[in-house]
Amino acid sequence: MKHTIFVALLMFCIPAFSMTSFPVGVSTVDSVFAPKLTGESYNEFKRFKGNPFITDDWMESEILLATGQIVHKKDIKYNGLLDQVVWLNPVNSNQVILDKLSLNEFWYVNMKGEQVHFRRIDIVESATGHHSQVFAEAAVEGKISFFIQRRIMRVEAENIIEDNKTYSIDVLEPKPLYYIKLPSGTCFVTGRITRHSFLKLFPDQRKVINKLLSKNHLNFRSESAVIKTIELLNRELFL
Amino acid sequence: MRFLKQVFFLLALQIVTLVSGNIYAQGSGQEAVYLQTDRTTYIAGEPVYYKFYVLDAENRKRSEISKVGYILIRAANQNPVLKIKVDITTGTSNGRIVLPDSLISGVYKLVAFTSMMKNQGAPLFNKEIVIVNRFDKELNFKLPIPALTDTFKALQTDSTFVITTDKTEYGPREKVKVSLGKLNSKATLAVSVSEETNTFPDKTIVKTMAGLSNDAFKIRPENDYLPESTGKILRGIVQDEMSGKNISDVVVLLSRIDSIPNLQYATTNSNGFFQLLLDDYYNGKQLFLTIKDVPTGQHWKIRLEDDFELPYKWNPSMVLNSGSSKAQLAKSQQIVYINKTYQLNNDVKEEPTPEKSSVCPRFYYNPVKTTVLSDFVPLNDFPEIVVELFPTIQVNKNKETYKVQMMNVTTFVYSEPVIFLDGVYVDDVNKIMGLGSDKIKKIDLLAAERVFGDLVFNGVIAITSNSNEILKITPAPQSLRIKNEKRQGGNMLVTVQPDSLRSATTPFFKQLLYWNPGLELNENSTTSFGFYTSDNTGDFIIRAEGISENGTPVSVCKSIKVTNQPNITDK
Repeated sequence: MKHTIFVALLMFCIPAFSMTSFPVGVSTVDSVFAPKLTGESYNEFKRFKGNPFITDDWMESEILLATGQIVHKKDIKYNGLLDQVVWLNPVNSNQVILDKLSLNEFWYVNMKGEQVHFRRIDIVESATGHHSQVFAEAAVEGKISFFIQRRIMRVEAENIIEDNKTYSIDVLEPKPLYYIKLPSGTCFVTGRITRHSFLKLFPDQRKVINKLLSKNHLNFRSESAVIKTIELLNRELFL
Repeated sequence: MRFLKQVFFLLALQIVTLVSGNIYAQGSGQEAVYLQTDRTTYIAGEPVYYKFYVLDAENRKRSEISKVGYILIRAANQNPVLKIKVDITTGTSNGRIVLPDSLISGVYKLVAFTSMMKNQGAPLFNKEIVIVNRFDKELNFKLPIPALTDTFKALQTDSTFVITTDKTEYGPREKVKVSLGKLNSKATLAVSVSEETNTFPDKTIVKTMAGLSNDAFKIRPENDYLPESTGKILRGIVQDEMSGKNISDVVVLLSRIDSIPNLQYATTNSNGFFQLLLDDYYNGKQLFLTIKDVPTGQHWKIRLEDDFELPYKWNPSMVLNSGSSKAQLAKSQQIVYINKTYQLNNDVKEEPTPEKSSVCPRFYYNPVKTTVLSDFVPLNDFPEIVVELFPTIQVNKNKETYKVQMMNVTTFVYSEPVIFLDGVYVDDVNKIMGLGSDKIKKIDLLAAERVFGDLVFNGVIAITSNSNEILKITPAPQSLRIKNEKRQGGNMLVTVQPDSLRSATTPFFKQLLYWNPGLELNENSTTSFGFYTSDNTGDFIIRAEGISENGTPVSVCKSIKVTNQPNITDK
């Protein structure tokens, strides 16, 4: 037992000693002078039925700022109701709505182990020419791109009784909005994608696409099927 | 027995890891510096052309770590006479240091280093140069005892890499064609052609790299000098002026004049020490530093570290300047006098350095409520502006002290906001009270609790003045304003071209005929270049120096003669 402790101690001490001889690295500089996140304090007093955030947990993320700098390992949650990114500051446990225009992109790994990538995209309303900035999940990026705005919307109000008092609370539900950017640069926006509506976007290639979909047994019943379809088209048809 | 075998195996593994770890640390993390100059003797007012090398201390390849280099010129037993910061790109920097006209004749020392070298106790680069005042007729100054054996002349015969010229003797204003031999590896050399002088022979890069100077920084086991890999690092302490005690856990704020409110901050450690990164955004700008939230009655001050402070004194052994060098120096003085009189100093071709994009540490990105004051009737001062135009702001006066409060739009509570003037954090609100509509261009408001990193502020008032009013405001006692001198850097080629630049009747005397800090050498072919002689006759030396891509120092030289003998056969 004594031998085991001695060896364990020795093994611990040697690397500790050797580390002191290393000069301070560039990575230390990056961590000491990491760019600061900016935003407003987030205080949500309102109660909801449903979650305004798309994830229950804080997700450790990499954030690409509008300045081109990257900040690492920040705990954030995307609020689909406000279309805002909220950061949990570990120093004071404050929750902060990060300035939308300060963020370009962010990445995190979800509970399924998949990497999720969000981008701030510029939406122009064709009727009014009005610009707006939204965060959307970049599901596919290529000749055809597919973005999903993870909207969470108030669908109804519900009365609840607590301590003999009646409260009205908003019921929230995910209502994603899909953006399909075509090779021509035009963007198709919809809340629901069907095979019919999708094929209408490609009038010249309709038959070929139909054949490809049948051959690969692809339907439009889930988001993942749409993603697979667009990836397939980027690979086979729009190289 | 089996247990012991396992122990020995594990120990052997640990030792191998330790040794390899140390080799890596020495081979890739420590720096050495070499400063190559065009000459060693100058007349005050002339430029010193230099090439600054930052090398890996172990393998001598160019270091990619430090991006800021330090050069200082010091006189014996005196404070530095010039301090220069240079921009390092992939291990080198080129530029020129213009020597002040007022320098007295004597020997000076060029010292060069990077900030990271201070951790290692690394030897500094030292080189002695002679600077002569243009108006010094006596020239009775002292020179250090020359102890140099490795001059350029001595090296020429040993080297397989040689310089060849089309002739060895040239007339005035004649083109000299130079060819450099092949090297085993690619290299970028600095080439100078200058009049040979006995005053002070130069030391080659080969000799310098073989045995660096004994003047070294003290070893700092705390390794607290971070590598300046993205910009200069400003280091300082916060100290109580009365007790001299260092103050820990206080926030030091930094901003500069800009159209956008900007901020950077650092918190002092247990020793009261802080450091701030000065990237390109702060290069050449005035810096506004202040301590946040100083308790009433406290006298806290920011004290900045002198980047150029050296750990040793320079007290060389000197001998009186001999008569032969006096004649050479007098000739140099006359040449500089002629060139100044005829304003013949236009031989430098400076390649414009591309403007570096810098990132502004914006205090906020959100849209703000902007009020342009010229849209309203003139108002006398800030309290009047607030009363007339901003119902969510209150200015209260208690005795002679003002207090500004702003209503939070979410909580409806009044509290003190952060105020910026011309992009700079305002350290004392009393000092902006006199600003009226005539001086203020616009006011931006953000009436919510703002977060900047770990700091929280109760709203923002950002004032933009018509003509940088922040400069007219006296800094608060806890604040400090300093100029962050612009770092030098850029490619400068000195080439004398009498054909195109001068008529035959214009005097044309040059001691430096050519300086090119970036002559590219390929592995398998010779490299050629040319320059012109001037009316100055004498022995000139062509020197090519540098570090090859595989880390080998290269030094080579060749003498040529410029004479003014009339060619009788031409008549």
